[in-house]
Amino acid sequence: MKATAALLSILVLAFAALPLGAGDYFIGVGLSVLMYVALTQSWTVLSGMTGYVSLGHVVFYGLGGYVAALAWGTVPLAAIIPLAGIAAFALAATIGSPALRVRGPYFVILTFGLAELVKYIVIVIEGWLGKFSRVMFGAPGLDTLYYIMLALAAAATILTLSVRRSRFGQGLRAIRENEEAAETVGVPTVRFKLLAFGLSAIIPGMVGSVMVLRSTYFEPAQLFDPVVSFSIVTMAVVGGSDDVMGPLLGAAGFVVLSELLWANAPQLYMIFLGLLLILFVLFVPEGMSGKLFPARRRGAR
Amino acid sequence: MTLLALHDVSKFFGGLRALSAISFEVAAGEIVGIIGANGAGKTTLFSLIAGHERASGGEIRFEGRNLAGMRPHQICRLGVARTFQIVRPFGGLTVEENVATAAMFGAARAASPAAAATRARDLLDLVGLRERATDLAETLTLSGQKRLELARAVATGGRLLLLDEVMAGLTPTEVVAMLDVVRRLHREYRLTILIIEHVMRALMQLAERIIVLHHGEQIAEGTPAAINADPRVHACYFGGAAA
Amino acid sequence: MDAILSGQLLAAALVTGALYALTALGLNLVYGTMRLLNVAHGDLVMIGAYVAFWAFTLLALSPLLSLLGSAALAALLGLALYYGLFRRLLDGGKAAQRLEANSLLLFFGVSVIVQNLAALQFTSTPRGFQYLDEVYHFGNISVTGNRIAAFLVAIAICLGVMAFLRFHVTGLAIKALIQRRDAAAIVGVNIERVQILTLCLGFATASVAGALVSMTEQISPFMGFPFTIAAFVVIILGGLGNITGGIAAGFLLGLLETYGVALTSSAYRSILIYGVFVLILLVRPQGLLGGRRIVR
Repeated sequence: MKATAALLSILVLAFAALPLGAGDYFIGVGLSVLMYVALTQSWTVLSGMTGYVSLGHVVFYGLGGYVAALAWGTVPLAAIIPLAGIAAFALAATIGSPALRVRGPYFVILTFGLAELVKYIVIVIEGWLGKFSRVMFGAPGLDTLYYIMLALAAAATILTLSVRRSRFGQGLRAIRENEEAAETVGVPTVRFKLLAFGLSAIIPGMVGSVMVLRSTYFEPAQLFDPVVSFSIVTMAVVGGSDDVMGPLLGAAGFVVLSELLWANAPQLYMIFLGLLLILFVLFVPEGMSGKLFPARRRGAR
Repeated sequence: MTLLALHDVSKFFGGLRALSAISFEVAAGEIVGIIGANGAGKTTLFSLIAGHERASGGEIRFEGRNLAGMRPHQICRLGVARTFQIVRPFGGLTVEENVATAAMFGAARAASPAAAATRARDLLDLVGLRERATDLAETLTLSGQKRLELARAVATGGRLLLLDEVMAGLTPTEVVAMLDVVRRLHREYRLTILIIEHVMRALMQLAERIIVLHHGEQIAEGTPAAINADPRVHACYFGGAAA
Repeated sequence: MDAILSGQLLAAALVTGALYALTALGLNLVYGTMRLLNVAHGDLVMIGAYVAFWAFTLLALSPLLSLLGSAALAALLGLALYYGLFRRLLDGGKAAQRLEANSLLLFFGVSVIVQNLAALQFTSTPRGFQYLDEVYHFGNISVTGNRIAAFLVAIAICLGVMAFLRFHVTGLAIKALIQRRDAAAIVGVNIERVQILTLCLGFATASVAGALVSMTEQISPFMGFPFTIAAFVVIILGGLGNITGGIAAGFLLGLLETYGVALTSSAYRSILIYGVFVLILLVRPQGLLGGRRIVR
């Protein structure tokens, strides 16, 4: 897949060059795009590959952010970010075993419920600690955070690529197509699903920590926002979740859209998101990447 | 050498007794048939052997190993492969990928994607699906999907093959073709086969020995000729009159 | 402790329970007959609430009357959804498959659209109105008139639907459809007609619940979510498609919530509801069957 590697390398270079020329506003937009690329690519490792659609992925993002908010000031930056990833992985590993036994649409609403549950638990914990929000002083500058996010987006993309091409990925696809048959031909379904779940959580955790440091503000209700989960799913559906390029297209498209609409009419943006989700689910399930690069679909739905 | 040994195996679903006191052995290389009316417990038996369900009592041993508590994929790795009564292809994957996946994960554990693909292609040749290799599995006809299911099961590298009504739904011509495929697989891949069938003509030609189940119990065991003549079998299964 | 044992809490629990039961009733009917998980269900409550609000504010119409309007509007929405979306898709092969497999995402999209349309139209500011808020005393218990009315109407509708399902031919058809879809078709049930009716009935009852809720609580475009979750908890607790079970479970949840919050604090209310929600789903994984066919 030389073409993919070349294309991605160019994109990385382009994004890396952005802060050198552009002002803060555009760096911020670039940051948002990279954030959603990282989130959506990670999400596809679980939901695109296994078919277990997570509608609560913000829980890992939020948990990572919480870790950052708690650790900031006492723990150096270089340790916080991996720590956030580990925490997210731990959550996935813990909740994954029981959760992944639930199938189909029930898994979807379960993940949503879990995200909300964790949100309210954090709210209550913060209440016990006497805090209703936290502020981070001396947080790293935009440029630093931008490059960290670039690294995370690149890592997520590489992760997705590796999984897709691996034996593990083949097993995940088999699980998606017919879980019982997969187990019958020797795929260790329980283990694989759990691993996919865990892998899909790490980078979102780290992304969350970066974003909390970017806003220098932490408030559980704001960070554990279901709109993030919803956006990830929509970007994956519209961009296409069967191809590495899909999340890139989806993220870029939606961030641009939101920049145009959000300031004036956030509701309009959400309505548009909802409409696109519906249209693509029904009529273009392969997403934009599926339409633009049909030959690339290997074993896709 | 005994490949599979069942001893006093039973299965209860709540209060419903699906199987009781099932005991038999299958020697390496044999083709053993299982017949019985619908609801006799045949597919349940396969589910127990392959690990999809846990036996309520008794012992199932494969190559001497007790299979109790093992998950389906572990049992597959040991060398047991099965097809499903209602085919379960990986619909969104290509025909070749279906078989290659099995080659990758099964007992044979292909060393590389290339090795898995080679094994897959050989099997597809044998079952006559080679030209459809790059088509999506969901586009095959029933006959094609049954052959795919068969190829996929054999691709796992299992030494014991559980065939669950592979002939069901096939036209007479297709049944003859399928019989031929099964015989070839049996020979070329040195398989031991346990086969559930309703298509009697086919089974009588294939199986060396037949076990008869009725309401979850084993009521007879013997050569096709013996079974055919057994009055108990006739009363339960064939409906009273001699065939 | 006195507060706990007093009838005051019980009264509150009963009112909440009745409203949950009514809300969940619609979801149960729709799920039972069409196997669709309508995550936009709570938004029907919101719509009903707004209809009642505007009817009262603009026309000085009592919610007890305007709930008919809420019901009618919701039924119309059900019809529109059916003919606009489902009908066309249930014919065509590919899209139909995707509908079933993705109905959840689709309804989620619908929910987002509906909520934001409402926010766009009415702004996100919570609104409320005063109606029937004179307090009545029964011994130690004080209840406002609107709560009593809400309770009575909710119960009446629940009982009415139960009776309909038991005694009326169409009601029996609905039950048949819930239990064995294919068998129902064979014995002559007009599947499509029953589905449409059930969809409209389910939507209407949820909307009426909204009208009742508007009497006692503030309304906002995003008030639907908690009702959706509560409805799901109720129908899973009571058994998917089990109407009577759902009604009982509605009251159970009302009790759980009211007493749970009283024993802890209102911050825990959401934890309680989502906690029960998650727990039920986890504890009954593949076993969400219980006799019902679940589509993977």
